Amino acid sequence: MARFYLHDLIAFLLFYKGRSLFALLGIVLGIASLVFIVAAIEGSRLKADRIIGMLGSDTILIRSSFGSRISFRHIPMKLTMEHYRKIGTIEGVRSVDYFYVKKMIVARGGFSKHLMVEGFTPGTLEHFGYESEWGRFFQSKDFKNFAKVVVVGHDIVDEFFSGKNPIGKTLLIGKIPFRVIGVYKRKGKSPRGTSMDERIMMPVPTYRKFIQAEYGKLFAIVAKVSPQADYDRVVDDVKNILNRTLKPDDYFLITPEVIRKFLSMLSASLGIFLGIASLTALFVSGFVLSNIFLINNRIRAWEIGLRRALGATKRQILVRILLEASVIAIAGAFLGTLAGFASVKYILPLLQIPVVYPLESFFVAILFSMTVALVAAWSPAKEAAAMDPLEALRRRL
Amino acid sequence: MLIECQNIVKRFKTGDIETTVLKGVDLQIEEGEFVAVMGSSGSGKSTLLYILGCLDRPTFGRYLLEGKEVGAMDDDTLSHIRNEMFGFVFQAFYLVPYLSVLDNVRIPTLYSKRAKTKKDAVALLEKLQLGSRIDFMPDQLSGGQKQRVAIARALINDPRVIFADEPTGQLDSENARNVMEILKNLNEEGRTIVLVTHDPVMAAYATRIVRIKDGQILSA
Repeated sequence: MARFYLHDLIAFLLFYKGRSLFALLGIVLGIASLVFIVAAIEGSRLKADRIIGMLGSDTILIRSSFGSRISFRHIPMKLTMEHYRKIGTIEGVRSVDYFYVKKMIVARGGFSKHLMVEGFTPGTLEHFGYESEWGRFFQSKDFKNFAKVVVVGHDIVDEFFSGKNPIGKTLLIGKIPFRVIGVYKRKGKSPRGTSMDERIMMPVPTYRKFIQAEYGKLFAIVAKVSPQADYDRVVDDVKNILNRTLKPDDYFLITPEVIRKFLSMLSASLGIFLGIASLTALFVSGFVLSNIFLINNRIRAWEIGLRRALGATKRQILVRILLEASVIAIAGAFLGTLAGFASVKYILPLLQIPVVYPLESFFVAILFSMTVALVAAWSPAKEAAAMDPLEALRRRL
Repeated sequence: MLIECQNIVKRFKTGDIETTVLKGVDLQIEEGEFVAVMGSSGSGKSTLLYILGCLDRPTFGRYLLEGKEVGAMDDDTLSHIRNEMFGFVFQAFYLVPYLSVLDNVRIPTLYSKRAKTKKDAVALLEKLQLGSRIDFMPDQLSGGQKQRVAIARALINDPRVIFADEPTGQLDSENARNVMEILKNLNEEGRTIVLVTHDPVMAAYATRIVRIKDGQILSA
C-alpha cells in the first residue's frame, strides 16, 4: 500500500511537471549555494591545515613584503642577515634558515619558460621536507665552491627532459648553464593550486653569485621553535627584533595562527555572501512553492473533493500535500547537492581552495529544504484539507 | 431501517439571497432496495443524494443511518462511512487523469483499513469487462468505459450502498443501458442503490421511484 501511495503521489508531481519543476528549481539553487558554502569553509580549513603541515606547526616564516609590486622579479627585500642572526639567538629558537626566490627565464634546447628559482640553505630543503628521488641534494662542497648545480622537480623533468633522468644534464638559467644533480620526489599541488614540482633550487652562495647579488638582504627567514618553548613569546620576540629596524609592512609573519585566521576570514566572508544568497534563494523558493501549491489547490480541487468523497480524512489530505512538498524538498536537496558539488569542482579551484565534497552538507541540505518546503506547503495543505468535499467536487475546471 | 430522513431542510446562501433547496424531506430506504430519485433540474434531487451520502449536511432535520444520528458524527467518522459503507458514481466520472485505470480503482483503498489488494481491483475490472484496459489512462477510454471504471472504484471497498448521481448523463443510450444493467445486477447481489436521474427510462430500472419537485417529495 505504501508503494501505491508513493506511486500516486509521484504520478501527480510528474503529471504537473512544469509546476513541480518550477518549485524544485528554487530549492535546487538555494541548496546548491548552501552546499558550496559548506565545501568552501571545509576547503579553507583543509587548505589551512595543508599550509601549516607544509610549514610545520612549530615554524615561523618571515617574508619580505611585496609592497606595491606584486612580482617575484622585483621583491623589495628588507630582511637582512642581521635579522637572521638575531632571530637565531632568541631563546627557544631551535634552528633558523633563509632562502631566496626569483622568477627567471629557464631554457634548454629550443624551449624556455619563466620559472621560480630558489636559493636554499641546506637546512631549508630539509625543513620543507624535500626528498631526493634521483641523484642527490646539495653537499657542503656545493656551498663552498659556488657550484652551478640545481635540484629540480618532476615537472621540470617532464618539460625540459621529456621525463627522462636529467642527472648530469644542463639547464640555462638566465643564460648561465647549471648542472642538474638531483630530482626531488613529487610534492603535488600547493594549497594555492600551483604545482610544487615546477621548482628549481640551488645552494644559496650559487644563487647570490649568479642570480641575485643580494648578500646582505634576504627574501625569507624560517625559524623553528623548540617544543618546550612558548611559541607566542618567541613570535613576540621575533617581532620586536624586526620592528627595531623595519616598518610593519616591510615584512609579514606567517604562523599557523595567521594562516588559520586569514583563511577563516576568507571563508567567513564567502560564507556571509553566499549565505545571504542561499537563504534568499530558499526564501524565494519557499514563496514560489507555497504559491504553486495554492495554484494546485485550485486546479485539483475536484480531485481533493473526490478523495474526500472516497473516504480521505482532512488529516490524510493535509499529510498528502505535505508529503508532496517533502518529495520536492528531497529531490531538491539531492539535485541541489549534486549542483553544489559541480560548482565546488569548477569554482573552488578558481578561488585556490582545495576541492572537498562534504557529504554532511547533504544532510544540511535535507534539513533546510524540508524546513522550507514544509513551512511553505503548510498553508496550502491546511486550505486543501479544509475544503468542503462537495464544493470541491463541483470546482472541476 | 438502513436510511431514514426526517424533515430534512437544506438552505444555500449566495450573497444576501437564501435558497431553500430541500423543504422538509422525509424518506426511508431499506437495505437491498434500488431507489431512483427522479426530478427535473433544480428539484433538489442531487442535494438529497449528497446528504444521504454524507458529503453534505442538512440545515435542519434528522438523518439516521442504521438508526444512528449522522448529524452527531464528526468529520472523520463520516469519511470512514463514505470509504467503507458507501460507493459513489458521478455523472462526470471523476477519474484522476494521472493514474491508470487500475490505480483509479485502487484510490479508496488508500484510505481504508480493509486489506483490498491489486488482485481485487483487477478481478473487479475483469468482472466489468475492463480486464484488457487496466493499464490504460483515463483519456484513452470511451465514456462508457470511464463510467465502468468509476463503478469499479465505487465497489472496491465492498460498500453496502451505492449512490449514483446521473451516472448515464454523459453516455449514449447503449452505454447508458450497460451501466444501468450493472447497477441492477449489483442490486440483485444485495447492494442498496440510490440513483438520481431525470430520465424515466433509467429510473425504470429501480425497484422504487421517489419523485421530487421543488425540494419536496411528491411520491415515495
